[in-house]
Amino acid sequence: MGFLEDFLMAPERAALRAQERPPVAAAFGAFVLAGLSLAVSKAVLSGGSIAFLAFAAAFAALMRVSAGTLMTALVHLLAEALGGRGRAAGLFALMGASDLGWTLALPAALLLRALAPGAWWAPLLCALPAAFAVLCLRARSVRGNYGLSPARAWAAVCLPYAAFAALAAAASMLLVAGLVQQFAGLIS
Amino acid sequence: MNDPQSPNPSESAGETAAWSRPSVQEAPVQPGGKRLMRVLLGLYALAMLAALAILLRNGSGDQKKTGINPGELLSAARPSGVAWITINGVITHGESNSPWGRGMPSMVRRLRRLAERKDVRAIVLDINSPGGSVGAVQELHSQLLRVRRESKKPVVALLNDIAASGGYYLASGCDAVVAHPGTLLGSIGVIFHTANVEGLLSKIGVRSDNIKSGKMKDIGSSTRPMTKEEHELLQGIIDDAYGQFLHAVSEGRKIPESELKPLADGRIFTGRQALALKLVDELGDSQRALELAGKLGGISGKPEIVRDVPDSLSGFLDMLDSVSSLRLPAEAALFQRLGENFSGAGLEYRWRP
Repeated sequence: MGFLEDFLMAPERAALRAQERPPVAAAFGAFVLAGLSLAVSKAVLSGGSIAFLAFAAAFAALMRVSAGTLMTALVHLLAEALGGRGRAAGLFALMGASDLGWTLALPAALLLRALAPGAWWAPLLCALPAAFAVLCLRARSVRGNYGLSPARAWAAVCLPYAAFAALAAAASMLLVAGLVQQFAGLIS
Repeated sequence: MNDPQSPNPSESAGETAAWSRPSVQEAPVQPGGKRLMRVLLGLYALAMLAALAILLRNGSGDQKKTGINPGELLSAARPSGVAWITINGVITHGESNSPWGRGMPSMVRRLRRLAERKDVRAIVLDINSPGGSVGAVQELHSQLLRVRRESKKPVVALLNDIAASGGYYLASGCDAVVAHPGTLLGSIGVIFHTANVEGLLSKIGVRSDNIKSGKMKDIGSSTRPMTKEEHELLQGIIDDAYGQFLHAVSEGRKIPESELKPLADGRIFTGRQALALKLVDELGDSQRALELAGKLGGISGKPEIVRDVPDSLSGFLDMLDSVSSLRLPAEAALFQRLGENFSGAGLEYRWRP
């Protein structure tokens, strides 16, 4: 609790705590809570039931923990490559705390369900601000944990996403090229 | 150096030495943190409880008792609409057993799913079909009648380019039928299509022999001429299936069978001719069908169209299916086409010009 208080109110202190005694278990808990919040928000918006929610929540929590661990590793490598110095365990704790930004999706989902039921854009409107908040918190965490400049901290946070996007684009292009080749073969 | 938010000193100095940090005790503490955390936690717990209450209600079947749709809880008002279901092409069980098949079962699923929605007050069946196999058409027709009976929601048929044979069989099961003046419809009748390719096979040195338990076991075989006895038996089957068709249309359109029979020799009509013969209720377009469905469903004002969510994976797999069939060489494609005509004999409520 003390760590989260500091993360919210005194980020410098939270970064120091994460370096000295990283609360890894609390970070796991935060990832799980983020996954749970996302699953419940989605169920609230799509009219799901409690029976299905158990599976969805377990899956989402597992995904958040896995993605958080992977992202911590990537961001740690990038932050060090960009000249920062810090502990990976500390970053994991801070990334977990940052993931709590996803909990914003839950009140947003309840509001949107009341104001615009069934709107196709509701999940987007629910997820985008929360995602932006999480990114900002992550950048702040990287700055605090590695002592990087804001630009380098943002680069360390965003580069993994850019790499995933580039990979996805390359895979899509290969798929399209394959289909075009098949159709070209048909025409000739 | 005491501020960990400041850039790493090694960035500017070009040094690689570890960055020295202050201790936790040296960092400033913000007052009021505990209180804020408690407030935030309380609000989050409230939001979670509200969400769980909604989801519990969705899953508990309270909907029937309260009349509240899962999507309507907490909402001011959910607009009612008219479900739009398209029935395109030949109606069959589907060529494959794949879950993404586009045959009759997926049409039934879509019909039932939309009819069960609380925001759907009426249904429009947008038909553009020459009919299909007897079993598939009768299954769809029966499910349509069941949905009408159970949900008490009116169903309006909109006939497009063609609604012949099985396509019209379905339309006759609806509360009202709207057609374009030039729609081709009718073709009330049954067909059993088979072909004799004995001559063709003998030319390429193929001879077929059947060992059978009874003389009628290979009835409809395409490798020998049909006997008179077989012809009579098949005619009896056709007449029976025709009687079922006639009865369904007579019941659905409230036209006595004696009046309907002269029109039911397989002939087709335009929408305008059909209106005069009471085979359709009115001439109009899709907008008119929508308005009529809305009116029958008790919707005031312009009704909203409710469509089933398209299954993107099905669409993608369908595309792959079509690509693989397009890749067949011309000869194979020709044989496949011939196969469609010469094999798979069966009863059809289908217009086969």
